[in-house]
Amino acid sequence: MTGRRPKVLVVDDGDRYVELAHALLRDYDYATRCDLPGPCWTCERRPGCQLTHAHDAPEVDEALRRHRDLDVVLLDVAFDIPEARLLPSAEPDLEKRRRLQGLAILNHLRRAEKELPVVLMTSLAELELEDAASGLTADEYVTLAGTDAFDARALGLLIERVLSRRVLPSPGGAYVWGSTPAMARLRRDATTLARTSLPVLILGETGTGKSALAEQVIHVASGRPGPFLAVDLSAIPPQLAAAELFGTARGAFSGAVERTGLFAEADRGTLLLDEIGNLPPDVQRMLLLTLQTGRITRLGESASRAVDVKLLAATNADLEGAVRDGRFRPDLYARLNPSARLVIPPLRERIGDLAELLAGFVSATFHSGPDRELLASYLRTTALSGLPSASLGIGRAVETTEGVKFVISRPSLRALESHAWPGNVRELSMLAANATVFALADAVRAAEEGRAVVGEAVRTIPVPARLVRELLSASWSAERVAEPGRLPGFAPTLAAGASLREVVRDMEKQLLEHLFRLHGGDFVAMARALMTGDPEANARRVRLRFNQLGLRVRGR
Amino acid sequence: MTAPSDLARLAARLSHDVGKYVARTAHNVPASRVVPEPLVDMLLKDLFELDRGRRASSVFEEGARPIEERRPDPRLVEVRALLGELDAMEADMRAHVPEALSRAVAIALEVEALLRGLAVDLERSEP
Repeated sequence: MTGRRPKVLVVDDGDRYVELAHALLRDYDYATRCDLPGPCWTCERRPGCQLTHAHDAPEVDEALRRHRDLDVVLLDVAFDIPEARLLPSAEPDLEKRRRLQGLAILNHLRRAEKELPVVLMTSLAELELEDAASGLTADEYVTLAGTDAFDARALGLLIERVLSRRVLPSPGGAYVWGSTPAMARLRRDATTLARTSLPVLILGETGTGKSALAEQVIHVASGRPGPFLAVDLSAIPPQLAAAELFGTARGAFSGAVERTGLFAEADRGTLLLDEIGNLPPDVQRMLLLTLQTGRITRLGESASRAVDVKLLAATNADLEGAVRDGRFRPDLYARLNPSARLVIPPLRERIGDLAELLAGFVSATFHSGPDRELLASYLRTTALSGLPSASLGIGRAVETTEGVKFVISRPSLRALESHAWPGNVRELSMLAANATVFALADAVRAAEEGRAVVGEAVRTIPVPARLVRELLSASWSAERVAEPGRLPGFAPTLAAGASLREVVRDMEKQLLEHLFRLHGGDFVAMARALMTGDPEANARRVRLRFNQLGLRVRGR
Repeated sequence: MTAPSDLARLAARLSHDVGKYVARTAHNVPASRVVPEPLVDMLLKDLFELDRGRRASSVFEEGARPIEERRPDPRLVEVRALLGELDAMEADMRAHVPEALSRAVAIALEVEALLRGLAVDLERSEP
């Protein structure tokens, strides 16, 4: 990010928002139509000046022409302006056109500036009662100010969040902050700690996004030129942990080969030690030494070497408890900077962020890999133009002019918001991926069988409420297993030195792979072999788990 | 007869056109309710030049009438009284009397809360 102040364009028929912004949001510069130097509020012409912002769509065009360096737009929704200044519309109700002119301006603006972030100064509740508001979509560049619209402090935080998202690396990897106060604090603390030399301890339940915070936020904000590397210490056999982290010289022990080690590989970059509580005692001592001296010693060598690594440690375990129980060194714990630890709240405590998170995950699902290819094939089959991209709409039918838009109903959104989310955002991301991939697969089938409507309408793909319910109820519990023992030919193998979690996951994968081969990829038959109950519904659960374990199979 | 969904729509508009806008400046006044000088003019505009120069009480009456004709609600009566109190304080507010300004902030926030509550209740009561 550059050192200049972010430039804001306020689009409002009156002075309400621009006055508020000038009086209370002083960290921003403002796009003006007069082009006098300096921010608006220091302008001597300010009293009575009407040239501080765009009042309608033509003035938005003018502002965009004059200001190519805009960072964010604050856009009102209701515009009480003469009919001649409204954008053309087929809507006969003039009052309705005025009340929703902001959405028309948003679409207009999108054609010129596709990725310019826009904060709509309204809330979902205000829009819900407007029939024509269904055109609004929750894509990654549009944010609803909600109740923050007139609260300058909250609005300032919201704009910061929008701006921070804009500088993050890729659309597939953008970190979604949401709008809860705990996340605003987390963002501030994470970016502050990122710029220091201090280690950072990240705490949070499983699936809350600790690794994503480390890679997409802290590493990026640190500005360090080296790579970001991460290691899950629960997945490394204890006897290999030291070699993995610090490297080995050839012959250090029987069978040892020359190995650089993660610390050396991450030099001038960032190293995340995930599940730090699993670090064996002897390696804890070595890590403490490295933190104290900034040097590492490879196994089998006596000479140390300097490394410049930003160390991040993460865990969902009770590290303080481990210190009390003597399983984790107190001096190492103190070195991990626990007083400034970052705690990521579980999804149930930031449920208001769910829609935004969901939109981000839908977009990310189709950003690359086989899912993007499936989407591309859908576009080809339906003769739609443009690149394969996906966004999310909530509510009634929505329109899009590129990619596809998946639409979930408001009852489905409410069902998602009522779910407990024990797996946190990871669980939500899997649900987003599965729901949209299943919906897309159905759409592909319909298109291939000639059942789909031809034309732009097929850019909208509804995600059935039934599918959302099924995915929400999908679980993988022992009581669902039917008649164990009827699995002919299943002979799993176990990896030596694996953790219990790895063993369980590996067994599960082997079982599903075995059944997949046995039943020729028939998920209904696989479900019958595994569970009691409705085979069709169970087949979806099996397929969901199949995908979750990375055993993805596309098509029928 | 107006359908409940229309009533909900009317209440949502009233909440937006009056509740949201009267509380614009009030939301940014410190918890002490002492109104900083730069915000006084903004507060006066919120309350007495809300829509095309009309005062909040006038905009409220226009929006509340079709709701009250179909479903009277004590919250509308309360908001009317609060806005009346504001109108009566206008001279003191324009004279920047601190107590009047503080009271106006409290009233603005209360009006917003009452109208939002009404809108939410009417939306929930839809069949």
